[in-house]
Amino acid sequence: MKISYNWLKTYINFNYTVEELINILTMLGIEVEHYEVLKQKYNCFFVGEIKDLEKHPTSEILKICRVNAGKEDLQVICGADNIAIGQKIVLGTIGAVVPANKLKIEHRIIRDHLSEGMICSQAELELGADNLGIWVLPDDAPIGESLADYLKINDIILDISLTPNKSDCASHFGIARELAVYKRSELELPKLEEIKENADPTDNLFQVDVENANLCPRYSTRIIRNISNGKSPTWLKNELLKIGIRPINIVVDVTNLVLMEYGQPLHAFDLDKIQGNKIRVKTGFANKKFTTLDGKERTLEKDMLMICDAEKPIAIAGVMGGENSEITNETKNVVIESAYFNPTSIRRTSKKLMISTDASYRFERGTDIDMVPYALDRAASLIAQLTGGEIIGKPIELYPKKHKPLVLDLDFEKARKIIGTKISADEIKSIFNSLGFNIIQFSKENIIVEIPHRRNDISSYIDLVEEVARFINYNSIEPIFTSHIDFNKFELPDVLKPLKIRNKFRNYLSNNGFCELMTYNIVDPYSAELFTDKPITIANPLGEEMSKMRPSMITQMLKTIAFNINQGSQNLKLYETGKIFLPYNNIANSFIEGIDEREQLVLAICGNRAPRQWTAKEEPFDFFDIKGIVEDMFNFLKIKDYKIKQEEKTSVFNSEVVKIVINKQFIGHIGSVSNAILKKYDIEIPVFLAVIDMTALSEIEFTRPKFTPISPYPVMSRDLAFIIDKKYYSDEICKTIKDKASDLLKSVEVFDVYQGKNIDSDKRSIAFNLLFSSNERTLTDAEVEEDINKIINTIETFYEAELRKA
Amino acid sequence: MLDKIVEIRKDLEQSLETIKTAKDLEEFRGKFLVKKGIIQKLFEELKTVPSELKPQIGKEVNILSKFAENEYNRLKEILSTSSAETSYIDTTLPGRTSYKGSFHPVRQIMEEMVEIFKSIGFDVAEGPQIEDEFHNFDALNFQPDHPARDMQDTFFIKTPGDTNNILLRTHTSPVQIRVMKSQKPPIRCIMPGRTYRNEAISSRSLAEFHQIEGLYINKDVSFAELKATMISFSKKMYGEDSEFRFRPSYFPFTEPSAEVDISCYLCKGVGCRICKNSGWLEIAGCGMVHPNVLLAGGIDPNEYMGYAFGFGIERVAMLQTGIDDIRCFYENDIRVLQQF
Repeated sequence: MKISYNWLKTYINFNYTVEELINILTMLGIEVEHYEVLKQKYNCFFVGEIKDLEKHPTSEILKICRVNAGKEDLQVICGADNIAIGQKIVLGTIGAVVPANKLKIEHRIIRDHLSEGMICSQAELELGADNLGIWVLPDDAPIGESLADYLKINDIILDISLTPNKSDCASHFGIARELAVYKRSELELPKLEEIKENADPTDNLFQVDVENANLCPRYSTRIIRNISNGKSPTWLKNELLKIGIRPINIVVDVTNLVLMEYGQPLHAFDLDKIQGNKIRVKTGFANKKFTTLDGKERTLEKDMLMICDAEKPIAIAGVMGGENSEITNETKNVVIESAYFNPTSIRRTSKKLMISTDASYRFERGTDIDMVPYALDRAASLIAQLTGGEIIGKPIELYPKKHKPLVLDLDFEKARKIIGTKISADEIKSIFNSLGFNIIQFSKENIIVEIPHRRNDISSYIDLVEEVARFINYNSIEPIFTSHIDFNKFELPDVLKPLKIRNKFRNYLSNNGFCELMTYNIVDPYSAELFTDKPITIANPLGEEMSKMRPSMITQMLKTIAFNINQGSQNLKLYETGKIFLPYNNIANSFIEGIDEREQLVLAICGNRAPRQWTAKEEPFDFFDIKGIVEDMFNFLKIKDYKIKQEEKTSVFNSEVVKIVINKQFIGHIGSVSNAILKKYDIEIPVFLAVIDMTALSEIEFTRPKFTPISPYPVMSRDLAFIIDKKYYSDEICKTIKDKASDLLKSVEVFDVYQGKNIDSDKRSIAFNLLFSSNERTLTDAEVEEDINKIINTIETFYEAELRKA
Repeated sequence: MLDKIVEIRKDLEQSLETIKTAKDLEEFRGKFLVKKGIIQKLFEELKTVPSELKPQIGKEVNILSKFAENEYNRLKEILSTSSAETSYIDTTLPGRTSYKGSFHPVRQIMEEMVEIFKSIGFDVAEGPQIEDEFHNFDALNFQPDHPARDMQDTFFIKTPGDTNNILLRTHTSPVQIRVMKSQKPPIRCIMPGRTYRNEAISSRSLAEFHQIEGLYINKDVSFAELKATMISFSKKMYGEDSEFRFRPSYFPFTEPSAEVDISCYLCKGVGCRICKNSGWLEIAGCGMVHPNVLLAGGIDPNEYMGYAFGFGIERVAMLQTGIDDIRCFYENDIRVLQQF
């Protein structure tokens, strides 16, 4: 919203510089986005006259003009169609900056001819919408006068943005009132000239009927007859232009002026286009077509409040007028409407029709019901004065249920406690006085005030506390710790606590060469449907490609890998922790029924084991790298008793895949991504990936490891190699060895696997290293040999294996 | 013969002095110590020496031979060890490095903020990202149809009856309600996490981003204490010499509400592109918890009061890393990630 510094000064006297004013407004909660000093904005723009005109020798469009803007004639190359000798125009001279496109005007050679300026359109000057040609000024415009002086727009324009609670500030008067409170003075509405009400008995026949008083609690009209409408006088046009409103004609311009002055939207109808001398305010126009002032056809809905004549709708209440009752230059008789509409109703209509106007913006936030008659009279008398029309009779007003102001009681001690500072009762009183709140009772302890209708943001004592804090200035409140904290009392339930293991995994991985990613949780349908038939779907997505909540983080990982490979980085170690969303019912800890929100960890590697460097061979990662990383990580984090088991084929991995299980609970997968999936994501190198259900993992309790004494006696090491059928898994054989041996056997590790020469193709050689020890004594060879023989016998018979002789 | 021995010894000593390399040493050996070398020749000549002189001359030859051998061995030792030390090794070659691990910059900022708040007595809570309308709006004092709901363009989740009451949380504030309902005051915790807005993606805004929310409820919490908390946190985060401005603002769930501005640490308040020439950077929204919100959380507003605040994390990460396109955070180019 644009606010004029000069307008503010017509309501309240102040001498603030623009910087001071901005600071005051900011500290009152009114944000000033930026401001423009019009004198600077229109610096080097002058009123000029076209003295001469000739066609450019090499261009069909361009003309070479001689322009006088006060001093010597200047040569300007111009391409506008509507240019003619003798016209008064706006000339931007060297040094001017065209407001609309920030183009700096300099000496330029255009097709071999010097141009010493630019003749501007209204749009280029941001002084109107007309961009079809140059702006032709009236003949009496004085040559050489600066544009700002000519238009009398030596003003400063503030562009402010209002939070939704500040609807009372959506006008110049509203903002002036805030300034008055800041100064602890009182602001009154300017006195209007007494309206001369001409009697005309025929207009007693004009009727207003409000059918939906809840949607339109107050509705007032005045009739003005015998106007001669037309272009507004220059002062009025300029006042509107500088705050960004396009002048149209006197009647419309005055309603806009009053809107900007007092925040009360008004509407004017051409009385002669109203059928049956009647206005009805009603709903019930389902599916009816209606053409608004902007020439667009709208489809009405049942609940939309309409202003109608005896036969048909003539305006969408509070949003936009209809073409069928539009004010034109030929309009002779008008009806001015000033009303208060229900904010919710206007808001819904405006949203459904996707029309936002200066009027709907204010009505939907809530206007001041008490402003209705004042704004009507202000507009009517100004229209009458400027058009020579006569105001007929008294206003017709429907205001059946007078607004009853809210009465609130503010306890000073409570206010002081909440704000945390000492404020005197008198100071609080003076704030509410300046705010124009009617004070019903005042004591040392409290104040009881009546809240005017315009302050629809105030509904309880706490809002009064805010008014006090705001007007004593937040920055004057000394920051101090006022409370007494008992740190023993916090106890968050587990479901709200962050997973403890999350940062342990993050630290481990980032410290072991992995880059942490952060990807979107919203994914495309394909990525989601790989994991579930019924992914959680967004009802109003930004697009189909961003319409599902991810049921797994794997696909985002693959997309990131593809992106990085595309950027030239092939060697990657990446991980991410985050949320996944699954459609399950009856989950114990679910926050929202039907939705299982879990935390996942995904890590992936691709490329070579080591980044390319002079000391390392380029060896590609394989499945056992990712498996080893997960094992190392689990061991480091002391995650005990996990089992890694062969897994059936899954939707993303090829046959090289295992699952991690702890106490029968599935924890995750480790595997190599299938070619079909890789292809889908345009990845041409193998990717090895582990995915861990962090929620499941954190539900398992891990106790701190207990100390195991280290044996002081020597460890005996024995190696055994068997040629054994490939169908037997190594971990199975290890387990058999452990089961068979005495408890002197402390560990069994596979240290070599060989298949090929000298071994049948369906067999392989597996070599195990066995460590024996005792905490009580030094072992003898005979003791160990006994175990070894037992193991050899068992493995040979059980797996039809053959001991490999050294 | 004795003269000859003296001469050979002189020659030998001179030769020793010139030995600098293994090659020199090898030459020395070739000259004196091999089978056909000078010393061996002396032993042969010894056979021709008269027997009465043999013991004396023999002793001298032996001494010379021992001396030559000892010197050879000594030098061999020196040269073999020093050869490793002096031979050509380019120590400027890169070390045997591994992959460069890193933490995501947004995550780093978030963790840093969490750590600071933990150090001043805040617990950490997290809630669901898919929320219901009650927790995201109603309980936070958003009136139905109030324009404030417009400030929060919301993604809704498809439900069987198209009820539009399940949504992606538009802020971390619903966790406030969940915390209030789960425990009695005093409550003092922060709530970091991902949030969603139905906004077109651009260099300045994303549909997914992160916030950190704070809540403190007790019997004697004031706006002055909120200011003190925000300032002590921000000084730790942004530097001790930062200046602050609290200006009135509006959030449905707090009253009074404020925006916290910090003096622009890039231009030191002079005005620059980042602070839009105002000298101030907006860093957080905050305020006193609205009594209606306390009620919705099951807390008696006559007994308790509290404050709440919220920071946008990406914004802080942008300011601190110098990344000026917010989308860059979610692209995950490792050449960017590894910088942090």
